[in-house]
Amino acid sequence: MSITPLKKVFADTTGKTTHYDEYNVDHTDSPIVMNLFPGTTGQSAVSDVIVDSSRKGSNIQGAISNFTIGTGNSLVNKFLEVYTIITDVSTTSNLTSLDFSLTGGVVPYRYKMERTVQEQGDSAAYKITIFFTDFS
Amino acid sequence: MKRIPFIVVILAMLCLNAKAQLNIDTTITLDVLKSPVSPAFNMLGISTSAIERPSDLNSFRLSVQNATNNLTAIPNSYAFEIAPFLWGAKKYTLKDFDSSKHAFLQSFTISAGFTHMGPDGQEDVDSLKTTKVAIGIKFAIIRPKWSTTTRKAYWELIKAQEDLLKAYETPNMLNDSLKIVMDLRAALGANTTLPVDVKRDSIRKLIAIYRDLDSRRDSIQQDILPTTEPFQRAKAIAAAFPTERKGVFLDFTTGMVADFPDNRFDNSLVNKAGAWITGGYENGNKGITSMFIARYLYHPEVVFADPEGKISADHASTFDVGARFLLSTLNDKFTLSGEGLYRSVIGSSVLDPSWRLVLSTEYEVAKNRKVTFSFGRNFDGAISKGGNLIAAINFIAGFGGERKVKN
Repeated sequence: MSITPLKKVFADTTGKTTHYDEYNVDHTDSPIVMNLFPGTTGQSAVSDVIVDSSRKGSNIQGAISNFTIGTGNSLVNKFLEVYTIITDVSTTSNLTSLDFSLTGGVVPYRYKMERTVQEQGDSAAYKITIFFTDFS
Repeated sequence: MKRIPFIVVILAMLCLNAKAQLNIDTTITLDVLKSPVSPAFNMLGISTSAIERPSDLNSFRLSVQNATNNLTAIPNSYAFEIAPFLWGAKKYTLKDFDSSKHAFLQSFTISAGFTHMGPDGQEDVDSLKTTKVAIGIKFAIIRPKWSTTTRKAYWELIKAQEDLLKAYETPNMLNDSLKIVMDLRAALGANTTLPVDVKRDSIRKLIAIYRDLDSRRDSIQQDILPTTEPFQRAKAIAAAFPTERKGVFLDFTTGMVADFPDNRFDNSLVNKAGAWITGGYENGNKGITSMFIARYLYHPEVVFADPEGKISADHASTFDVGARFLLSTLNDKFTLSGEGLYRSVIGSSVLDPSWRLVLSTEYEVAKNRKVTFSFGRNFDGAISKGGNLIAAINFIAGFGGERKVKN
């Protein structure tokens, strides 16, 4: 019988909801494309997408698919901030999750986070910050 | 005083008409044809409480491991129901359920199971044990969109989430520090004079500082959010989110049971099989609601067309069709409902196909006062007298009728 480590139990009930990372881009005009899938199935989500304090998308409902943020050239040394609120509507699970990915840079990038909310109807707030760099 | 004979006459009429009404069976019985929620289990006779319903691949693996004692034993029975297309990488958020676009993938469920036991009362006798395997699928072909009530609740939820998002983005005491770190990081990125090693080291330190600060900023916001009005508003809506649909729908369900009488996989018999198609117009309790069902069953538990048990259910194939509609209008004062059922045993000359039709209408003249009219033709010719049976017109006056309220 396998035993779940205590650390894992606490990780599941709280869950990390912020993330910072750097994304390598080239000085080209190739588009940098973002995908964001809030979960789990049946939950309701609203997101804001901000690049260097400029709003690229406000109150976007649900998933964000193939969202072009800019080109490698235009994004170097800039910050992308994505704020998302996920509310637990699904009656089968209290789990919320965020699956974030970027393409168009040197290599594809993907990051996933999840948080189990305490009660039916509770919301979880997520933030992802990405700095676009040409330095490696 | 003239009122007394009038009341007596009315009461007498009510009694007579009520008696006539009793002879008309206007009960909607289409539910007997209803497709099962989990077709495989209904045919196999597994209770719904024993069904595993894993929500992802990992929990499915754990379920199988538990049932088989870590893959070392075969259980006497095991059943599962899964929605495989909801396990994929693509997540469906709430708004993706408001259309027919993803209806098939979202509604597609597979139910499967097996039993390895003896007949009733001798389940654990090894020499009598046989294996039965069942599989069923169910999916929506056309699914209606949300009703106005559900869509209103959705937009109220979105508004609450937008307000919550605004509250989460509101700067707190750590935002100025974060802004300084971000400016430093951008300046460092633009700097081309620093040695690579120094630059790399500085970046590493700035990343660590940013992560620490942002984690603390987030922690403060996460503590504040549940106390905010938008959070509580979103919670109230989400916890009681109504899922009502309005429009045309069409569902398909099928299932079969294979019997392995000598427990060899090269010798199997199709023990039972069935297919249901259900369609209609879903509209809550207002306007027109209609539904039709067509059902084919091979070796049914009960032959619907043969209530007296004239034929054996073994190897019998039956076909049943039913339709029902309900029209409610004039602020629900007028309702018209009808139901038709057709039943037959395929390939049998013992029983002829038969049908039943019931039509009833009702008009609310005043509070607790209704005029009703029913018309019916039953499966059974004796009652219908040549095929049609007209019941009566009833005037029902309820006790404790309307009362004017004076201010």
